Amino acid sequence: MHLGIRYTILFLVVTLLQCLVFNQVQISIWLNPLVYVAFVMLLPMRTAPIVVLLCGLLAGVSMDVVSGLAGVNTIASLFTAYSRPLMLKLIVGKDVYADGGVPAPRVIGLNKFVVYATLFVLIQNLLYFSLEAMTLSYFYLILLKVLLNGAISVLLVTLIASLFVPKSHN
Amino acid sequence: MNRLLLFIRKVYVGAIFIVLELLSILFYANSSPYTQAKLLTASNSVLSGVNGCFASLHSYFGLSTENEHLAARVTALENELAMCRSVVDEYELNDGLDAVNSQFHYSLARVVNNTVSRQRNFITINKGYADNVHEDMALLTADGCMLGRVVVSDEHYSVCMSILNVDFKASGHPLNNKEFGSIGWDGSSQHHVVLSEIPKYADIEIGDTVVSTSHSFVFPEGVKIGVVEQITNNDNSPSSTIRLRLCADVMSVDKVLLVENVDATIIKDLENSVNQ
Repeated sequence: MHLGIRYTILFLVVTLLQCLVFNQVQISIWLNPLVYVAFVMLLPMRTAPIVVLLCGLLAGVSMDVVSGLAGVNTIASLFTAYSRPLMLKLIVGKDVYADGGVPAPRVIGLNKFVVYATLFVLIQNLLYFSLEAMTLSYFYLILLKVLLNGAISVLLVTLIASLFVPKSHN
Repeated sequence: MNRLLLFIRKVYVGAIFIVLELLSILFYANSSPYTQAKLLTASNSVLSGVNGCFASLHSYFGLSTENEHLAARVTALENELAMCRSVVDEYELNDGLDAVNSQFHYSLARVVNNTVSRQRNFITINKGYADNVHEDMALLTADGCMLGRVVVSDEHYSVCMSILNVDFKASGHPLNNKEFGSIGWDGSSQHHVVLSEIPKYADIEIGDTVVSTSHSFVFPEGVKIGVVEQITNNDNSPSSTIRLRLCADVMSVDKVLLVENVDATIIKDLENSVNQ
């Protein structure tokens, strides 16, 4: 399938999952995993940094619009999108990065993917939850939310990445 | 010239990143709970269909508990009505009743979206200004507990600040005591709010019910807020902090009551004229 179509589907799926499922889960005030980050995370490594940045902008703005958070998702997504090339170069190494494949478990290995996902999700969650609270006076509550939702997001993102890149792409 | 082009190629992503990030920070810094509610109303016009579907599903599964609550509420209100009727009959007040206008009007709405996992949570309901819903109307659960207040209305939907919102403020006092304090959410539990600024000497015990005061033009007097669960006395402060277990189960609300204070505009105009 054409790459553009695959990524459009991925974008739609994770955005809909986020706003119709994970934003609607009303089990506890602590649960709000961010899975929409999978879209920017899984862009091929050969993608030009400017395109990654614009994809981050697209993901952030659409999440802000549907969840009514003025700028919170955009600030977090732009930051992670901008620092993505550096993260990948550090984690998978310059050679694998230059190959330009999709940074998914079957391509870069599960261990490296989990490290990449953890770093990416932690930065996104830290920015998201502290900006959403608009103050640092709830520091421990924010930290707890970051860690709890971070762990769940990493699990979900790994699952999405495994489904997105099937075995044949090994 | 070539060098300049090379330099631009090298830094343009960073430059665009900084510009975009600054723009979004600017937008974020200028936002308020009002902006968030405004954004929610805008997105709701797109998502209302889908949200409505989810709300119906949620509502379907909650029907039996909801029915029980409503039946209990109806019984309580019937008892109250019977008591009022007997008072009216006993003192032959019937003739005077026509002249009495209630200060509060109640109407029913349904929750179509309800966030709970943020520090600033909002509830979207399916009534807007076309149904006479406007800013500063009170939002109560179907059994009459404090839930929030309307912040923004569009034609068919309104966004309300939930009691689980760190910006939510109301005043409350224990049923058997007139010492009042300020109600606010500390973001730590969906079942608790904090009643602060209550004088230490006030006679309050665990298990007391806290209700709204008459000092607000949003909430009618006597709306149930919660039950005292914990009292903390700070040595350095003349007041105690009281943790209340919320009477409303915010996570599972479906049908809600809207309360309009008919005199709110008159009171607000009067207060504004003094402030000017």
